[in-house]
Amino acid sequence: MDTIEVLASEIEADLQSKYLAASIAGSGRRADEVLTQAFDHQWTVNEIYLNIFQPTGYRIGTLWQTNQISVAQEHLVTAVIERQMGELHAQFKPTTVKPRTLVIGSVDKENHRVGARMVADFFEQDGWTVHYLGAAVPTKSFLAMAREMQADLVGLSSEMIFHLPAIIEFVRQADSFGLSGIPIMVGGMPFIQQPELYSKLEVHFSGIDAHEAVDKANQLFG
Amino acid sequence: MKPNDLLFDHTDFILIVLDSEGRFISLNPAAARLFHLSPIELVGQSFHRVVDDYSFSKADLMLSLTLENGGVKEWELNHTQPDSEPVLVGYTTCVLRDENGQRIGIGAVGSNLNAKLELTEQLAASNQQLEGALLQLEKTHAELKSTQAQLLQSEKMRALGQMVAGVAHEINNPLGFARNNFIFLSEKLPHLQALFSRYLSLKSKAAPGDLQGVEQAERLAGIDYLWGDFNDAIQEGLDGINRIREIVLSLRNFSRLDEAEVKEVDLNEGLRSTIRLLRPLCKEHIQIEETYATLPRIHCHPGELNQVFLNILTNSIQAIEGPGRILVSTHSGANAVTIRIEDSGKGMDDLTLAKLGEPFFTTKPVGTGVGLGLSVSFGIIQRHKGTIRYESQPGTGTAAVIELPIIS
Repeated sequence: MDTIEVLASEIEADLQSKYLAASIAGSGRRADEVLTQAFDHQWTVNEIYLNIFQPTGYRIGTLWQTNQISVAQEHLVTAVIERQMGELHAQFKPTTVKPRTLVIGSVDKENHRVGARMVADFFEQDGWTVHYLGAAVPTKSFLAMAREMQADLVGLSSEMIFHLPAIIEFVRQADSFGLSGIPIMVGGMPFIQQPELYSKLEVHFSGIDAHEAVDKANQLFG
Repeated sequence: MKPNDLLFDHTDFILIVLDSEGRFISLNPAAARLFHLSPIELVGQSFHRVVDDYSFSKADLMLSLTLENGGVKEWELNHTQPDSEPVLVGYTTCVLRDENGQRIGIGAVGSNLNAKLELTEQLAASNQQLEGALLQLEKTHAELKSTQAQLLQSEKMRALGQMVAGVAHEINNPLGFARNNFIFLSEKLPHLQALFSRYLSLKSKAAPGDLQGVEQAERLAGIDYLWGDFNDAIQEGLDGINRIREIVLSLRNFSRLDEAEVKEVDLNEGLRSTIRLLRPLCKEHIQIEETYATLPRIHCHPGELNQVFLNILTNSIQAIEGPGRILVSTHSGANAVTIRIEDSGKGMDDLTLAKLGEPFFTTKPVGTGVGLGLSVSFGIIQRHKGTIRYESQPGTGTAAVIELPIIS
């Protein structure tokens, strides 16, 4: 790692740590200041998603598992991130328009929704038509929506390993909704920890982040 | 029934006793209601059975930390519900020992956090909505403040421009005939000199008695120096009038009231005019050096840009306390022209630099500056799709660098 990379990595760690502290305290104002600093360092909005929002989301999950923060504090963090995502959304303007439609959401009973929303924004920026369904979408409703919107690709988010059966159920029921063979991408912590896990669930691919998800989707569709 | 038993049976707190392996020894009715299982069904069963998937490993950690450290506080676990969202419970635990100090299990007291959690969630969402609205409000306020400042300053400058143009026009007429008269005098003086030569020639041929009064008159008039003084006086008068003419021209150039429309102009000309106007303000020890490159004509509001140059140059002059210099240079790139105004003044610290261009921010003493000059300049350059940046450090002077796009 050269000096510039070391410096960049230190800046990233510093911003992440400041952002985590600000958002756990529920201080949107301080969290905004961190984003301002990131923009001062010439970060793009995509880098803010990938280098601040995503790691913060995973970090608070780990902190709750060891009881270092409460669910209430998790809600504070989520509220800050979602508000800022709303404000940054205008910067995800597509540069091209693609004749592709993505229907994306979190699987049944999966309450974590920030990851799927991040992926949705990246696809929108890439020119896709995106229908983001939110958290804990019941499987049948999800499938019905994918059919109605004539999805070219479905995105399923599962942050917890025990929600993987919902993905299996989605794949199993796809035929009965006239969606047999529809490309499905999956994402969430289990797929970061086991990059090949997707193949065992009979879906088409997984991405470790929103950027990789868009890349792989474009490879699939050529 | 003993009071302790009454409390155990009737409290809304969840009270459970587990063995060291995490199996139920006993639980109160509030716990049974939460778990949707009777004490008979649960005694001997693992505590894991009643927590949801999110909390499975966290329940393990709670039990092991209790055994290791004697207890935990406010440990949050989720409990699955058959027909609704899981219930979040905060547990405080301790190790239970018999009278001989032997460990007999783990005691846990839990309280339902769902109501509190719901409120927190609503509060967090409302708070963020408010913070978002506040942010928007602050941005709008800053924009309004800036617009107000721009309006104020542009109105002031417009009035000043009108006055300058009026004065310039009024001076132009008397200046015109004064100059014409001086030119007439300078043109006719040689004729008069020729006539005088003839007179001298005739005088040399006259009889001495005839010239008695004439020579006295010549002495009185100081005729020996008079022609030289005439020449000098007319020449100096013409120089003075020409300088007044240049100043009037600069004033007209500067105010450019006749050019409200966007025009293509040579920025070097605007800089030269502005510097000419400012020279009288320069203390003797300030040198202004000008290095102009050949610039393409720029599509702009010339009067507005002259105002920017005036603001920056005035600041530079005021920043120099002792002897110093100001370097003004222009440069033409592929897509933009650059104007650099660099002074050897006292410079600025980072805090001042960061606030530069904020409406009503000034470092000048009260009563000498309202803090609008640079704010207005930033606005003007922004409207011209250009940029303005400052390079400065305390004690090393300041450079203002303006870049304006070349738009064909």
